[in-house]
Amino acid sequence: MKKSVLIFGVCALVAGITAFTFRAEELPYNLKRGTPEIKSITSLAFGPDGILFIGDSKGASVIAVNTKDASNSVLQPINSIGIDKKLAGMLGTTEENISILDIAVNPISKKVYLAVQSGDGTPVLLSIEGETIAPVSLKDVEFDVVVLNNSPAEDAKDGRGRPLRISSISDLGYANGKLLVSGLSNQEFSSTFRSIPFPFTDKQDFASLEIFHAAHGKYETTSPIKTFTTAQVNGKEYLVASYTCTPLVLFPMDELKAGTHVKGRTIAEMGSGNQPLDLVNMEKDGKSFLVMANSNRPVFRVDFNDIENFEGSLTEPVTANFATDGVDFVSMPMTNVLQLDKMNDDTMVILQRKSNGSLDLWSTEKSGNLLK
Amino acid sequence: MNSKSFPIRLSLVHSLIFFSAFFLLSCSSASESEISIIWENDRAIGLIVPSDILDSPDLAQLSIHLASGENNPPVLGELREEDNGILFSPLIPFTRGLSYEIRYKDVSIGNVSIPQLTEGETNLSVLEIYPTQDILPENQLKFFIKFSKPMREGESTAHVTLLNSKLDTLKGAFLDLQPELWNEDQTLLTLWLDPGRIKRDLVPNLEMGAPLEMGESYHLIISEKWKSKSGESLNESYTKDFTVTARDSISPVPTSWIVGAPKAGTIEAVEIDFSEALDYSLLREVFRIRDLNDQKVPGKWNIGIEEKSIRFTPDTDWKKGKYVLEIESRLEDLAGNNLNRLFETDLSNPSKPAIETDFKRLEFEIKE
Repeated sequence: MKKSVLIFGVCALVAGITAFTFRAEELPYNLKRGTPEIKSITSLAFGPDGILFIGDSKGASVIAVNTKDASNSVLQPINSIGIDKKLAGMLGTTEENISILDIAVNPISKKVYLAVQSGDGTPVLLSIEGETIAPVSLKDVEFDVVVLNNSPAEDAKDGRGRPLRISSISDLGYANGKLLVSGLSNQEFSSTFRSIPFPFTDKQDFASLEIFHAAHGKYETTSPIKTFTTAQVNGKEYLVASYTCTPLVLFPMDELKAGTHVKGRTIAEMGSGNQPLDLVNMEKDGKSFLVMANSNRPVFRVDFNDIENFEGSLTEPVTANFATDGVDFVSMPMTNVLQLDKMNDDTMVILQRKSNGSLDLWSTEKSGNLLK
Repeated sequence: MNSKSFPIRLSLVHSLIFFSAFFLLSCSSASESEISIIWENDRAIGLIVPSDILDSPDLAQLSIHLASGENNPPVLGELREEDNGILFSPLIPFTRGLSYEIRYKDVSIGNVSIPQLTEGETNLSVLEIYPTQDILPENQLKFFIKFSKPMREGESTAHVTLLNSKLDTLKGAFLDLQPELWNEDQTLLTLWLDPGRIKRDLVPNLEMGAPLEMGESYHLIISEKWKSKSGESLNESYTKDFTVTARDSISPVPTSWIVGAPKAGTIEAVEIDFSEALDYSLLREVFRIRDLNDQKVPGKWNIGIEEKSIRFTPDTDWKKGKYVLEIESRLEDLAGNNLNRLFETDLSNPSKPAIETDFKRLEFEIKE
């Protein structure tokens, strides 16, 4: 008996040592090592610890990549004049052959990541810190992929060639352990908003988000979300989404649950011919602002306090012109801003087409008055 | 700078450049010591610098630059030693029409020009503009443009224009969506007319009105300057003329469709007539036919003239009995009204549509 216990003990010990010695490398967030297949890089967003989420619209997936760029560093101001020409030269082409599809700042290192695409569709990921531009290799990295499930009817497809349906990713965000993905399709004119736990599991929550029209609350429609951000208003988490047909709609985050159909409240419209491009939250002197870049208007800024003061009629459509009801949408002295992101609470990085035609990437640090 | 140029070996035959290269080639006996271009699907994806130009070189000293000036930075890419030399793979393919200089220890050791596509190789065209009918509702939502080859992204606003009957350009008619909505191989583009202008009472609608007006006629023009991914242009412009009729505020109703069922024992097509044009891209995907055992009947679908009907031809003979046509409710008409809901629901009009379901079903019978 004693002998068998001893043999068992030895076996257990050997097994334990073996298991410990040959255990596969455990990577954070259940990532695996390898080279992800990336068909396009259409949007970027940072998650925790230097994890970069890459939205691949062509591959209908989001790839989480560990950039290993997670040491705190001091913000280095950026003032890159003619960034398109610079990037084109580094890529061996001319500026009309490249486009910058998105920018994202690593909140830890403050390094700016750029999603660039060549004329033939080849995606390139680059980073910029101060004056230094460098390629970010996506070969042999720690990564994980989540494939975006399509509508419930999608798996009922039959084999008539490739589906014509494309689910483009309009924006990505990360909040409270969840990757948020807004999508639009070339077919249905509606918005799918996905909330995906990270580290990735098999779970994806869908919510369809419907909006009231601002005027009279007479019509109710669906429409795709163009860009979004999350924000705290009165201690409650909100999704601030900007639609392709109307600029700003507010949704309480706790109402966005799987399979639910949520009606949001339009809080502002900026008029015709304008497309929202980017939304960020900024803070200055203890005040929170929402900053919004537009295709055909200057950059707007709104004080979150003003949105909070409107809390009373959250479930009702806004019946009057919001601006006249006291929310102050301030035009900032910046036009033709194509992309913006937050570097820290009071500094943004901006991709702007200047009036002389130059495409510049610059950080707002030296223009501290922007958020005054 | 000590500049010495080497002839170029071309893996494809290209007009003028070919002739100059051929001339150089014919003058050179050292055919091994040529810097060659690696091609993949008409794209120049790499350069091979043969080992007899550089024998056991220090790769860190080798760089490729745009040949247009001395201060061009090194082109980003990967260098790797292969059996026949050093392979340089740039991050993006080399651009047609540009020249590149290969430098070793900052000294030029060769130049390579990437040839343009010649006219004989271009057959880029617009195959179809959907909807194909020339009468469209006032609240028309989408156009689809089908090209013969993969196109360049992000340029639709520059190349698609809408003109009214007086040939004035209508600005802001289309939604400027970035990234654009292309299918996977980039041959089909979806263009939306600005929904903020179509949707009643939104500020854009109040300020500018709907993009299309009832009774007016329009021309949708696609510019000949639009380029494919590989850099060739369309070479001719394409036009779709259409007239605008009343607003469509009714969802498609499958029970009103006419199903023409063939006889049992044949493989003739069943034809479903909608009596109105429906969305081209959805038509291709939302139909299925099931037999009484709920099994999917295999076969082929073909969209009818002006997207007003669809035909299904089974792979094997029809059997006598009942079948079900299953339709995904996301099917839309030209104005974005689907089988469940209208593009915009008028809250002051209490007539609520039927319960929302993922599918609608329509029964039909195959007789002897």
